[in-house]
Amino acid sequence: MNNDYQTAEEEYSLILEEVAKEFQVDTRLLHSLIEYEQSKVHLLKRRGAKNDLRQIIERWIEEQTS
Amino acid sequence: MTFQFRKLTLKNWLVYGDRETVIDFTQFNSGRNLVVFHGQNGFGKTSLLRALWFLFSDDYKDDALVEMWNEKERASGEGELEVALEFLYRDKVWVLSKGAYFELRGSRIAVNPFTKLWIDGCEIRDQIDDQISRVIPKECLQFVFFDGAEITRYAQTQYEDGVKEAIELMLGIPAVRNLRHDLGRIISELQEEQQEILLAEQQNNELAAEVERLEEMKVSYEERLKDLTKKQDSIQAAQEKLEKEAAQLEAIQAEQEALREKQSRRANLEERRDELDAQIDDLIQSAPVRMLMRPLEHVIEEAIAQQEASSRLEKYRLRKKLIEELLEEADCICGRPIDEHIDTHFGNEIKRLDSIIDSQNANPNSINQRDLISLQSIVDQLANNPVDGKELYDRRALYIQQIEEIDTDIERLRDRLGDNESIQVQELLEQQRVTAEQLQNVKHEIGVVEKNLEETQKKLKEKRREVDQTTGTTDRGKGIARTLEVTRGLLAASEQFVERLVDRKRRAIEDITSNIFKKITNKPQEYAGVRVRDDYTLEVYRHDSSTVDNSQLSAGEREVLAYSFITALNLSSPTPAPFVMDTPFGHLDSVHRDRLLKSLPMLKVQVLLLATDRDLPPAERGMIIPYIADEFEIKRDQFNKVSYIKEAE
Repeated sequence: MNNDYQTAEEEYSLILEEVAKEFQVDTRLLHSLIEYEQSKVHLLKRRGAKNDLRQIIERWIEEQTS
Repeated sequence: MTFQFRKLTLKNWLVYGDRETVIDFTQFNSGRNLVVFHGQNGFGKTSLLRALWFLFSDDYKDDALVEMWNEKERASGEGELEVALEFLYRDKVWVLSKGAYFELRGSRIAVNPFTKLWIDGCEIRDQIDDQISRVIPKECLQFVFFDGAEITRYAQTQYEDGVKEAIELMLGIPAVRNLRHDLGRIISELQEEQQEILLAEQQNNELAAEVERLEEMKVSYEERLKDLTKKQDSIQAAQEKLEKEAAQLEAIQAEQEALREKQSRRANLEERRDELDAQIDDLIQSAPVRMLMRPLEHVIEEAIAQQEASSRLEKYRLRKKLIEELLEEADCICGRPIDEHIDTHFGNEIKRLDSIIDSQNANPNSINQRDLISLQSIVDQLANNPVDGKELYDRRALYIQQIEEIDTDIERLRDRLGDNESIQVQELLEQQRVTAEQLQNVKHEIGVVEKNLEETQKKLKEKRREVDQTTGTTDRGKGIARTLEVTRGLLAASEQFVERLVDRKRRAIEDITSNIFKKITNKPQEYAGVRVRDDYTLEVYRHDSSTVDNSQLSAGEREVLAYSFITALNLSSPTPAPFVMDTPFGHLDSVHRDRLLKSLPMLKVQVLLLATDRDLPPAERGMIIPYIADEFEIKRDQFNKVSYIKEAE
């Protein structure tokens, strides 16, 4: 009974970090974009998703340059 | 743990009456994750399960709410029902309350439903349903709150519509797919904006046109590649099918051979049976003669005797005629005159002969020579060919029995062969040759298109860089170029993320499903594990790598397989939810049940067991006591027709 099963949360983060590093993108930015999509995934129509995501990216760029 | 139940309240929900039923769950700790509800059939276990479904789905319309309203309360026509759950989710305390107020208006009941949500004490007023869906999407409820008897549908070779999508939702895959799609759209939008900037300056028209041309080429190659890949998949599927058929062909051929041999043997037996039928017909026809053999032989003997007598009679007649002729003469043939003495002597002789002749003529049954010969021939033939009728009938019965047995074999072989009865080796080989050729052609074509696409992408990338430089002279252009650069990187990362996520999730589910299945199955020496196919359907395989047809698994084994899978699915979810299992051991024997019980404490989630005394007899309960966090009894007040829940004593 000691053989506990692990949850998948760490694995999810691990893949995220892995690809972010590989493609030289910011892990937090990628994570926040996925989080955004996660909040919309159950909706039939994801109105405004493209604009919201673009804003998140542009805001991040601004933060980086300022 | 990211998700755990803290308190569940039921009021006027199905069998639970107006006396508020409150279930307080002990703070979860990984050593004790089991919460057991003991209840007899009809006392309210399923009502509890349905309460959780109600909280996390939005499918309940007014009529359904009236149905869920406690029957006794409903009779009064006015009142309310409420189901509330306090739970910890991602380190925040959520309180979700759903229900309805009912009011009698004329003959109909007016329903006023409500949903309230507080997160860390703050009431959420907007998009409450969206917030709830984020916790457990309604499509995924089937994997966390389930009836043990119904989960076997996940052990089928093909899922119903929507199950694959629900599985991927549970694994968090669609969100990343959506991101990939949206990033692609952002890139297109940014590139269009760059084109606008380019076109605004006359001297860059050529560059803009070139980019547009390359973009069109790229899209065209991508579409072609998509079509070809689809074609390749379908050819490969056909090829796999043919390979399977070829593998089965040997067995089919052996069965075909057996079928042919049986058919030939049947024909042979039929021929012999027909011969016997003819012999039996002959026997039946000759039966009267055979039965009368003895009397007939006697008749023949008599007839022969009669014929001999007839020959003697003729002699008597001739003698009489001679004597009569002599009597007419004066002298006898010896020369002496016929005197009175001789005359008397001759007269007496004639009388004697007459008497003999009369007596011989008197037999009316004399038979003629021809009939006698015919009869004698028949009797001789039958006497020379003795037939044992019983033996004939026995032999025929044996043949009929053998034919019937062969017919059963033939039917069984035909059933097994099905449509394959007429499969021809040559035909199959030809089909394999054709598909191999098609596949080779498609692969070649894919290679060509991929090369063209790669070249076009390379050129496009160069041109885009040129566009970035050209348009980057203005602030707006510079901003677009930077956003494009970042978004392209994000797109490439998200594309890879989807691929790895799908692949690793499937493998993780496969590992966990196999692990749990092997621990629970009562055939660990036979079953080596479970494969999860690309569409998430399951396949049990043996230690010799052969697969087990799901239809060959017993109902209990399918339940174990499905349980292993949905457990793996829940554990592979980024936010595993508490497991609620209603009468979880429906088809399971005691070995499976005990092993499944032993596997529950290994899960890092709360597990709510809604069990009858058959699901959890005292010995089994004793086995899991160290892991039980809470234990409740569902009681029934039969006089007032309501159920309630209290802590077990």
